[in-house]
Amino acid sequence: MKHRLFLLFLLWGSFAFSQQIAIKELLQEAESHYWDNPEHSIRIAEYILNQQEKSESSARANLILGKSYFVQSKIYEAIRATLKTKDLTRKIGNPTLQIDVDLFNLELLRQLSLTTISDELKIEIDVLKNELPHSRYVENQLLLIDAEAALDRGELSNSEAYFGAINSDADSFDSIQNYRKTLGQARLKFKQGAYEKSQEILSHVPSEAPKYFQVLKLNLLAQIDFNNNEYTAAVAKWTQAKDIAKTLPNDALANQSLHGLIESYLIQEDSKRYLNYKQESNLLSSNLTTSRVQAVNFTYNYYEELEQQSALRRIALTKSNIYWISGGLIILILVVLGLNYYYQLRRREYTVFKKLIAPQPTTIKKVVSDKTLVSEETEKQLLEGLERFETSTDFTRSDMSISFLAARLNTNNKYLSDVIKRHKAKNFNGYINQLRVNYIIEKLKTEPVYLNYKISYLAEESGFSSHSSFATVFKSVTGISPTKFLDLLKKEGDHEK
Amino acid sequence: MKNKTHFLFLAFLLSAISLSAQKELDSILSASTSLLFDKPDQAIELANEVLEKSLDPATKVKALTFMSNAYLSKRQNSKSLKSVLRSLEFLDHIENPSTHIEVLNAIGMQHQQLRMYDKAKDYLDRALVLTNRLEPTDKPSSLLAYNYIIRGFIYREQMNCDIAQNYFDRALHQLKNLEASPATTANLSTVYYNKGNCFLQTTQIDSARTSFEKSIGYAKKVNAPSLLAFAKKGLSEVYTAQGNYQISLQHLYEADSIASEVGDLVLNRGIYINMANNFLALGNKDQYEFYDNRYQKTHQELLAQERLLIDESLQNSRMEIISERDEKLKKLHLILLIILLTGSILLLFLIIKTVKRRKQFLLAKKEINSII
Repeated sequence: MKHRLFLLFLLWGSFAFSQQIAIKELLQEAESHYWDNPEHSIRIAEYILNQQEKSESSARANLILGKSYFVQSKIYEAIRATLKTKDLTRKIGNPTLQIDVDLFNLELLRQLSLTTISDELKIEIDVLKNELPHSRYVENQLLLIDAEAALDRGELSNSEAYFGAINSDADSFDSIQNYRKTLGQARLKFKQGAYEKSQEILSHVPSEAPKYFQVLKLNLLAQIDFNNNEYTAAVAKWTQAKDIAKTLPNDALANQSLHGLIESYLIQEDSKRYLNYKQESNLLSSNLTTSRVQAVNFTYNYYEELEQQSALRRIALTKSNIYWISGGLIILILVVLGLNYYYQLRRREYTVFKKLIAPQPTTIKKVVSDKTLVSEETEKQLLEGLERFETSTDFTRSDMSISFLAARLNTNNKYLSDVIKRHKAKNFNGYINQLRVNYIIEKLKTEPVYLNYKISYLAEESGFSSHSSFATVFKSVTGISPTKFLDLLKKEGDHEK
Repeated sequence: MKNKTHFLFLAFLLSAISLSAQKELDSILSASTSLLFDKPDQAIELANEVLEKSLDPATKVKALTFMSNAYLSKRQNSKSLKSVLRSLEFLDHIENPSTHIEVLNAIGMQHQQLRMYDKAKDYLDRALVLTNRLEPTDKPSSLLAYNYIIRGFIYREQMNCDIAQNYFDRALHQLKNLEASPATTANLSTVYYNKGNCFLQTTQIDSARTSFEKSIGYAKKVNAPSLLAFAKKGLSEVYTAQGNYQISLQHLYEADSIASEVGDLVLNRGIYINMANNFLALGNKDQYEFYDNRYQKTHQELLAQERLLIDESLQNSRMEIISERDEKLKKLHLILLIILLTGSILLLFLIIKTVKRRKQFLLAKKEINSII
């Protein structure tokens, strides 16, 4: 079973691996053909896009798709595929691929005349290219794009300067770049009126160059013939160019040829052909305009949306910063508040504790009221009796009661209660409790051995019937619990040692 | 050419819009139609103001349509579309079917401008369905004519001239039902001009000539130089196609002198290329090169203008997003500052208090130690 699984895994692995290799080969195939046979590259790219989603291969396939559409002058489809790749590439994070995408994106933006955005992109590329080993290639490509754009705008001297700055000796300068440069320079010379020079440059474009460049070459040669009044030769070249352009198919290039043919037939007074080609040209122009308008709108919305997204991200970031900072502040405040409460609590304990352990009289003397039930002499006797009682340990008897003490002091409950109330400011139980707590605190202070006793023993020792009643009474008399008191006493005693 | 004629057409249409809206605010918009083309930014501001102040859905719809047209003249197509789409939400509160049709027609036109033809047709179809509910007092002809003209434009741009002609004919039929007014006459000229172009495209040269001549007639009647120059340029193409280059040139010279008052680059470009072609056919290479150069120059100028417009429009839109963002960030930073300030003050106060407490505690502790 294990073997089988392993085999299956191996098989699947090798299948996946060979599929990867196949896709790589397909991509190479598509990449090398789009200037010559964009339809073929589009089919391959679409096949790969059907196979894979959101991978580097699909990003590459999308880029090839965009470039192939560009060769077909379908600028709307081209920009759509490219911006899709741009989003995907950003996530993949492969700088070489990213710069390829950016360069092509720049070319399309220049075509669509979105100057500001393309200038921003160029700055990004300039930064990114320094991280790459083939920065010379990127520099040349940038110069090429600028040279062609300047040429299209009719800025001939700028264009010439850009073409001149291209370093064609570099190893990284490929044949496509070479064709583009040669054809661009030929167009430049033509526009400057140097037809012979232009023809000479065009002779460097070999017949095996991709179809796209063949059409460009033929269109330009035809235009030169036309300007030299060699109309028959011009018509032959434009017709050939138009036919090749239609196999790509590239409406923009075909339209160029058609314009030439329209003018030629006008001269030859062939009004039938003139009108036919004019009709055809109108149709192509209309399609090209539609594609262009759609491309501009799509790009416009894309960059507007991009800006909107980045604005929303900034706002979200600031908001989350506010949440974090507020959260941090609240936590800090809570911590400080906690500390504050802790110190307040501890201080209160220590104040109570200080009072408890400070040397104090064991007897309780307080006169509250002068109104009395008993005679002065009896009262004096009773007070003396109570003083004796306080210095004794009788109050620690668990059966201590008011009747017991009254009998001991030869008086009745009523008189005793009255004297205690007036002189001790307490009822009998409070009086006894106070004496018991004072007693046990004194014991704990003076005899360290008591510190080791359990609370229940201390309760019993001081005359309480239970642990809990001792704890309750101790807390109500002193303000802190007996356990706490013991802790403090032990701790502070240790400090002392 | 197309855009400019659309704008003209739009201006006339807008002045003819008849919504039962709040009188005062409504008249502000009506009086400011000229702003749309000269100062679209002001127009947008105005529309926003009316939109905020107005309580009447019909006025709101009118303000949004106005805003949409202002954006259109700024070439901010997506914003233009957004504005007009926004007016859809107020339609539920409006019973008058003609308002519904006006809005749907306008949305259809926006999509046609964006060359999104399927959507454009979709909205135009919806508008057409509603026309059955119109009363004769609602001026159904003007709404129908508008609907048909946009359809005609769509098919002409797609080079389906047979279908386009059909719609232009229907539009003409409706326009002729209307009382004579400058707007109607101008629209008649525009429709005949487009018909002429379609006839040229389908090589029906004689019909093309008749159409352009009618277009010229209407343009003269309404005294619209731009329409007249376009129509003359169209007529010149008829003569070129027939080999009457001299006559063609005559019309072009006339068109050129009228166009110099108009200052429309698209018109100029069309005139120059036609002149170049005629001189080429006549074998006059010098004049051919002269006008071909002028054509090239105008073409570059036009491209540069277009470039600037689109680029500026996108830049403005991005700047708006950024300034909106910065305003929000400013508010958030203020909130953050307040939180930080009050938080720190509170914290400082608490810390001081706590330090005091601690001192008191330590003092108490020290005292105890001295006792034990």
